[in-house]
Amino acid sequence: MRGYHRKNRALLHRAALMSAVAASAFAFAGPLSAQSKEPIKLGILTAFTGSDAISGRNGAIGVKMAVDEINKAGGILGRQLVIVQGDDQSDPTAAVNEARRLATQEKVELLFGPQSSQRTLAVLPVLNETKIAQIATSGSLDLTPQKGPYMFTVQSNAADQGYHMAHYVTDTLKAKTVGILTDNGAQALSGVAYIKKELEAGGAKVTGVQEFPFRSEDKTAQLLSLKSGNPEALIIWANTPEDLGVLLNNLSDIGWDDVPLAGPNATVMQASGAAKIADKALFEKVAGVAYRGWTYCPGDDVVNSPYVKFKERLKAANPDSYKDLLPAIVGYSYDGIMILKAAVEATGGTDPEKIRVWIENNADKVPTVSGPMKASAESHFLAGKEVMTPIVNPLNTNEQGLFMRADCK
Amino acid sequence: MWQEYAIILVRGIGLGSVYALIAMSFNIVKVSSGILNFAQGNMFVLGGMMAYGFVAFFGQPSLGVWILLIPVAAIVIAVLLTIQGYLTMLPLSYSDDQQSWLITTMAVSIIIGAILLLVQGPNALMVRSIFANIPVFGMRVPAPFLMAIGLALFWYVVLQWFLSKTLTGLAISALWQDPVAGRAAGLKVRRLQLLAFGISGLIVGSAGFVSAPIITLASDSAVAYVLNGFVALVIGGVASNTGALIAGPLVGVAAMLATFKLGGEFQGLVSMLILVTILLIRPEGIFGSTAARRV
Repeated sequence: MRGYHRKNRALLHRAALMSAVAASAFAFAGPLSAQSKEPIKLGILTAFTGSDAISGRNGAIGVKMAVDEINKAGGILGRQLVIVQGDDQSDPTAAVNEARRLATQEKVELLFGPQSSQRTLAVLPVLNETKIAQIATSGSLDLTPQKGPYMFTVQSNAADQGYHMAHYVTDTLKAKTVGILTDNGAQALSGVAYIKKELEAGGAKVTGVQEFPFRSEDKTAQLLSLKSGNPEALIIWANTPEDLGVLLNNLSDIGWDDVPLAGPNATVMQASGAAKIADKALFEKVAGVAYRGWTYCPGDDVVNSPYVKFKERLKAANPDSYKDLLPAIVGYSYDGIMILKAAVEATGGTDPEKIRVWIENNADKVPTVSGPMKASAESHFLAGKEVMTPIVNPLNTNEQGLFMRADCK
Repeated sequence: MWQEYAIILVRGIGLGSVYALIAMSFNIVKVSSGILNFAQGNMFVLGGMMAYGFVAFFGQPSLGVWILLIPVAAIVIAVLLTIQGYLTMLPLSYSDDQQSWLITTMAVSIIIGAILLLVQGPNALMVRSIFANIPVFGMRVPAPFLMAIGLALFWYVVLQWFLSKTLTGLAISALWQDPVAGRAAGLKVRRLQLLAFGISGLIVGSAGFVSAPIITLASDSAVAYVLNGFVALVIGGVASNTGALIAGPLVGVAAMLATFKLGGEFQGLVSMLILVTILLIRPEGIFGSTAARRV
């Protein structure tokens, strides 16, 4: 009897154990299969309000366009993308608070933004701690892989843009004396040292350096100060259309509108806005730095350019607001999401470490609309020196809205 | 070389006149009710946006139409400011001895900024001047710089006359000295205070409209104008329009000279240095007056 009971108890134990294993297997399998169907939360952390809301609005449109296309095509690894928005209010403190909310409360797995260097630098500690793969659009040289191992940026950095601006002045214009005028943003200020270095390497002397606050009403004092050094060319770094327009008007007012100007990527993007207050003739001596995808030389197959095709899709998706959009910002934001998508697909998940390694080695294999992008373990700037090129007269676009490269034969 | 200094002087005085106008609009409200209306900056920007709106809907106006539009913009902003003044002073009807206006005026400023952001988005609006640039010392100066100077002088003369030669103006001035005594003497204090809000609206409305082509018209640009107007107010002396008229251009010229000689990074620093220096040497401002108070 005792033996029967013992045997029975052993059987019961075994059955209970098997049930427990089966139950836990079910319990595990349930969430796992549900998890694989769960959408991927993609955070957008950008400026929907404040002084940088122009970039934020256009960046968000690029992200949404990419997400729509990805979801229509079946998502990533069978999972749909869901956007969770955070407004950094163009302010680094607000950006940190929103980054923390997106990372810890919303539990986003991927992040787009912020769209300025100050804010991107501010949120890096939060995103490093919570380990989230991130695509920013910021150009400060302080954004190193050491400071942000999981952060990549589709914005060209200050040094690479500065390289093209300086070489346009020394190699194309053959100027021997140059003045530099920048806004007081982190990106522009961090580029000054590199511009000076490249100018000196090209045999040009810097006759003066000046800066102005964002959206300041008058730049005459800065320009008069630079003019006293009698430079043959000016390098200007203005990030808003108002600043570029005021600057060109001020040059005309002081009778110095014959000086050739070389500007950064922002000059190309903001020229049409600046033309609302500055005469179009004033842009004839203006050059800028553009992503190769936005440019052409006579004879190129422009109709089939990925950027042109992208703009057509953008217009179809936003027929009413298209005229107010900046396709360039929309485009490289879109590219950033497509690179993230490719990385998640290739690595089989959202593990930031695997994504980092994959993007460092394979970003150039992803088709992009702005131009071929590339990163490395040393630089997470996807739009490097090779992606950018100088263009002339940013108002003088061709039928497809492409800018003419300065090196066309 | 002297032409460069001359141009800096003209443009600095022009931009400084805008600050002077904002400071004068601060003054009239401060004199009547003791309130510093922080919504003045956004009201000023709204005045400029009216210039933009007119051009956007009806095209560039002729000179005659443009001149007629100045009082229109001024009156619209005056009405808005009077309503704002009424709302701001509602809580004060229970007790004058409270600082609710501080929150109310800031709240109105934030609300206007938010509405502007919702309506016109984050982009700054840009207005082309209907006037050709004016040749000055071999260079050119946009006409609105000179018009801002003229407008500051105009409002200074009008305010001085109104506050010292009319019964209503004298009554408002009396409120600055002793509002309780004014009320005891039969003055309709609230009505006078609302009138002062309205007058401040006339000043910033016309200033925003006239200077629209040379200022930044965006949902977030008001802060800079309020700050510079406030600096001009404190340097010149609170409640002194003469002080505002001189301190505004002083700030404008000093900032531009510092930029020209030292660099753009010193532009904001210089006006703050002037402010701190004045506060250390003469806390009541250059033209401000101190009054004895029984404690």
